[in-house]
Amino acid sequence: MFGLGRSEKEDRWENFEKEAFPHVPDLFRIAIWLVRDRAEAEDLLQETLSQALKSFHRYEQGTNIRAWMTKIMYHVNGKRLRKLGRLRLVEDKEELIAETIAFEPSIDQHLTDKEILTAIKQVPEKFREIVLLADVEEFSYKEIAEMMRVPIGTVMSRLHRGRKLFRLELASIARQYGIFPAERREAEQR
Amino acid sequence: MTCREFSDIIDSYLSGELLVETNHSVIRHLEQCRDCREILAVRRAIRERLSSAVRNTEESIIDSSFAARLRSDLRSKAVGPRFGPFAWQLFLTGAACVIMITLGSVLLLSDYGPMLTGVSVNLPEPAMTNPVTPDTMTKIVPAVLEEAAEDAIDDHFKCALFHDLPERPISLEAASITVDPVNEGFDKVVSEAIVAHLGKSAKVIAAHHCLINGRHFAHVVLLVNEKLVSILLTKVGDVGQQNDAALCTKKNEVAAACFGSNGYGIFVVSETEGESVNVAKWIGPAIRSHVSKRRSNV
Repeated sequence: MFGLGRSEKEDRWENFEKEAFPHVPDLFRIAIWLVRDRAEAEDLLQETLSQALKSFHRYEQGTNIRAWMTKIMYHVNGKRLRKLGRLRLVEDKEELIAETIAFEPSIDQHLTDKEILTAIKQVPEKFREIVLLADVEEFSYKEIAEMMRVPIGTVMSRLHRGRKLFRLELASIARQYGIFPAERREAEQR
Repeated sequence: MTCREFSDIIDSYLSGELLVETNHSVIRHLEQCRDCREILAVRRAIRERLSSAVRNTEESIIDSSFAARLRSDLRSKAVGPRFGPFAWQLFLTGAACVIMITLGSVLLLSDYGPMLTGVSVNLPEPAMTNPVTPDTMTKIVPAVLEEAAEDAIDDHFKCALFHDLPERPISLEAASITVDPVNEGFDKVVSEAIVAHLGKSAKVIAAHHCLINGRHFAHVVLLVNEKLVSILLTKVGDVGQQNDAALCTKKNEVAAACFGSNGYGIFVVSETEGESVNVAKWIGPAIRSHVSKRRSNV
């Protein structure tokens, strides 16, 4: 009649705490790359965890809770963007750029973390977020498709383009610093 | 499989997203093709570098005080405020007591006071509860304690805040048999000492033994005014003279206060320097006595 008793509530909280909290640092990292602002990322994480706590009874024990909470985060962020009128629906220009990259640059490995971060930040958001979810957070294509509510084929094609754009940016940064002797040699030979 | 076909699926291969048969074809191709092996190694290296750069950049790391606040807010939402069904009655009774005491004090201090009591009243100065003085913050801490304090902070984050330890903690009782007898009853000692100073605003929410960075810790997690505080004890070897509690180190916006006792280091990790040092001072005597008793029992 009055809802859950205190001990039941405490049990539920303890379960949630045990399952969800180990993933909070990862979720924060996903949030900050999603919104690119610390305060906004903290708000997004807080809202995500509140929603996850409310819906915890729907979480299937033994499945990937990190993917489940990331899906909630994308849902919460989508709502937030719609409210702010910042939801981008069409990105023809980015699609076009990605489609037209035919050449595959060679990549040197003598890059610093800072240069790698600069390169990934240059990749358009739509492709970058999928590359980060797959290659940093190691979610499966299926999990990403569910989070982003897009077909798995879209995930795969965006990933393919996103990774290619990232490699292109890496090559471009490395070239600025002149650390691609091999590539320079190839160009000279041509 | 041709090199061209391999180049189309190289990333899916690295992500483990290929069907078993395709995976076998890839492996067969790689066995014969040195160029593709090199391309694969570079792709793998790029991915690892990206992952490590994103994970280690400061902007991607959650602020520990925010994490603690978040946990505490969510806990309040989940479990509800910390009062029971008779809270209103208790509140009204308390309020009535406060009003009576205030009125009584006003009368005693007023011109009517001596008439009522027949004696003059000298109120004592309000007592300070172990204030943090600059002295406590600048004490020199033995190097072994400073070193162990880093691990204590890691334990606070990975165990108390994020429940993300590489190895599952074991009970203090089990650790007292398998690791060190000093674990036995450590939680009771901490609990009694802290409750003696803070009453019901502090409570023990977890107590166990954890292993982190190869170091064994007896770990008691307290909730003090809705904030997490870790009390950790570990063997550090010779700490020189018995030193007083002092600020040991600060990292990721938490502060560790520490003191040594009979070859053990005791650490208090919380969000503020003052809180860590004060708690360390409050529990110090009880823990020193516990350590010396348990050691003498060995």
